[in-house]
Amino acid sequence: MRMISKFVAPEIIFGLGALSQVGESALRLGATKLFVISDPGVVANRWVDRAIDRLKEAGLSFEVWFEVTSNPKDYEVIEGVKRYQDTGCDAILAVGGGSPIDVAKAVAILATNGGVIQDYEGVNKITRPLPPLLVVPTTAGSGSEVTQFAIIVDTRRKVKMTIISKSLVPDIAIIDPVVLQTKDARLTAATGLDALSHAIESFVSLAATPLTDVNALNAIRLVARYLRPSVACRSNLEAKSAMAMAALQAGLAFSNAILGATHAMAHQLDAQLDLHHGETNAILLPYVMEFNMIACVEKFARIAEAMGENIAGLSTWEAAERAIQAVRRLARDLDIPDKITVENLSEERINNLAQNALKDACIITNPRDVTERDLHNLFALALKRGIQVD
Amino acid sequence: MIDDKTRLIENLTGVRSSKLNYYVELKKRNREIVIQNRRLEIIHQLSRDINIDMSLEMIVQRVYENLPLVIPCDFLGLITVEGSELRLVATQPPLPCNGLVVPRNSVLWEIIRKQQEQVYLCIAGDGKLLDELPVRQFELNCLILDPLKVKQNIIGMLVIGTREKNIYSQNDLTFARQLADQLAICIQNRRLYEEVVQAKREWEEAFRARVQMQAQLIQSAKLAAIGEMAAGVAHELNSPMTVIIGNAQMLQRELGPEHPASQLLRDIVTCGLRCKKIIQNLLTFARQEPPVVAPTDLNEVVERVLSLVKYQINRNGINVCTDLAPDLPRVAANGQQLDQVLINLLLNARDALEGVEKERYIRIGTGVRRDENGRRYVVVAVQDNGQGISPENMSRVFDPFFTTKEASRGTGLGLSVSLGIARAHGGTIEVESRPGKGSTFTLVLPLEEGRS
Repeated sequence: MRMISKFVAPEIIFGLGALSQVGESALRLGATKLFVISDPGVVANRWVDRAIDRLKEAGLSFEVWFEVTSNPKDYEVIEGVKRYQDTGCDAILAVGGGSPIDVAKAVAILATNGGVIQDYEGVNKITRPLPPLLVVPTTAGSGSEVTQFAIIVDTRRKVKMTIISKSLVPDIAIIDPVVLQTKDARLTAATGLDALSHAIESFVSLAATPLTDVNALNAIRLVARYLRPSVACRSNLEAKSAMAMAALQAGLAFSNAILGATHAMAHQLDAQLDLHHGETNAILLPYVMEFNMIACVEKFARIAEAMGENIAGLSTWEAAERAIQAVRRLARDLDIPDKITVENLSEERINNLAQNALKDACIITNPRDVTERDLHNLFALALKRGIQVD
Repeated sequence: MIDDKTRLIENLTGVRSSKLNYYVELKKRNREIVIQNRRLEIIHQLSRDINIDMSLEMIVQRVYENLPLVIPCDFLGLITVEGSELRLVATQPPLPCNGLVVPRNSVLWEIIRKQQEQVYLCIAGDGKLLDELPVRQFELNCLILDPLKVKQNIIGMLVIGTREKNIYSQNDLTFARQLADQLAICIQNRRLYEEVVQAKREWEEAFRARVQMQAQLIQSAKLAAIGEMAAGVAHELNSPMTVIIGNAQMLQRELGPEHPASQLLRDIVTCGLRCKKIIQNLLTFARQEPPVVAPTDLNEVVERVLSLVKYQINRNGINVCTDLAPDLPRVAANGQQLDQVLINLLLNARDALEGVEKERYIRIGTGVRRDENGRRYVVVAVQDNGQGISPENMSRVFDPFFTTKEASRGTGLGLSVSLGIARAHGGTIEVESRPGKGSTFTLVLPLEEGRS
């Protein structure tokens, strides 16, 4: 469809023990004092200590700051930039899941561009280069370590702001599967399904290219095969490595091909319910796939194949339906509910969610044209039963 | 519709954007630093230029030459506060109305009255900007007005303008502020410098006058001493001369007119009497008495003075002739002082004839003159055909100590003292001179009607 495409990726250091590269990597970027952003969970698991040991070895100074919550908020960014500037840092290291990484990106924007984070909502609003940014992901899901996105909650408007810029692609992503071992089963499952939703949505995206397809399909394959064992056993390093690679490839795919209706809808629920983003995606994904199927049956069939379904002798339509079944089965196996429980759910609230989702950037690349009515129906399907249970 | 969607997708996937590059940023910063350096140079140059005592026009011109490199600038103006007026003293490009007084209702006055800091005026569209100054031809769209402050006083204002619209950045404004501060210091320094130079000049003048007065006093005392001595010598000569004349006359009577030596005796008596006359005149001239004003015949003064100095003048091969008016009215004057004036004029005439090749003469004439009001004057003119006075010296001949003669011959006091005497008599001395042809000095004394 499109004549010209672009694929952007950071320098990626991948492998067991890759965390040891953090000091030298920072030196190569010209850093002298690093602002280390993390969250309390990661700090408790001593991954930050390991990282700063390497910084010390490299003769670098640093300042650690880990007051970051999940679904990071605008005021956290304000506090972060103040600390960055007051302590005279000149580079940023994020150690953590999607939240600390997105906060790191937002702090980097304000450090050189000034203003407030709301100024940069949307596409290409950044005008000055950011300070060197190193990222060590501690979950296998968000893909933020390689993407051109940052998502920050505007607490006043209660919406997730999407910031899109090539400048947000980190300089170096250091991916060490060993780090994934400290995550509990539920988080591993949620982040793994997040990666799956990235892979599937970018694969069927209108902006998909051969380069993103390769990454997306492989990520689907790896999640289908390794997410269950990874959730089942913390010490299964083979599964952890595969899931780290799956999250990375899914990230590369969606950073360049963008996403679809699942994410447009999930962004609305995340901001209001403070659910885990991966779980929300996992619940919404099959409903959106059913809606999208008529737009890309062929691609769904290939997804089914990648997920290990036996599609020999099946019609394309039947094969495509297997893809949706496979996603539902994976979620069920990982104890993810098939509906989202929402208190005070009203018609008006669903309308509101649908209106906002229609404005989300991710809706643009959804393979099937989406109307507000469509979104309303989808929300109704995914949320309705939650109310009946209550 | 489809194009729209494609464009949206291209935007999202960033086909037309790249990760911002630090090299680009570096180049931008470098350009800014170069501009900043130039700005510092201009300010530095300003502080240096004041040392070589530049005019305000020159300072404004020098600043303007460099300004467009660092700030958009199509007009630069300097306004100074002079007393209760605001004047546009220098502009670039130069305007013919330098020194123009800024009207009272101008925004510039408002800024000064309110003691405002920098003001940035900007217009969009075709509005008028600052009609009080004759700058419409430049079609300025942005103006920075910066009061020049020294301590709390506003001493002027710097005006920077450009045709470009809405162009000045915060950096530009900061620079304009610094430029104005430096300019304020320059202008203040210049004023202080001029004050110091003026004070120095006045002090030197006073000092020179004092030195001159002292020298004059010394000279006067010297002259008084010489006069006294001359009087003493003349007095001493008087007795022997009386004996010489008396004895010669006795011999004449005894030997009779037929004696062969009688001619010699006659000569002795004649010359003796002449000597006595000279001595008597010298005594009269040198007498240290308060000046007495009496009806004086100028012709007699001329005769008396000539008897004293004619010999010296004739000795130099100079022909002296007189043209004395008969029935010259007497003038109330001090004869002794007039002697002094005339002696001075004659000796100056003699000196002016020195080295002149042609036949040399001095003419002395007396007469009566009447001015347009009917007042009468007696005059005595001394004319020579000597070297004359050069035009540049003409105005200085009466200055004390001014002389063109060598140090051993002239004190430079003669004419100044003479003029002083003339003025004491209510008169003056007139000079006419043509270089190479000669000079005429005329003593003019008013006649007091009914008393002469």
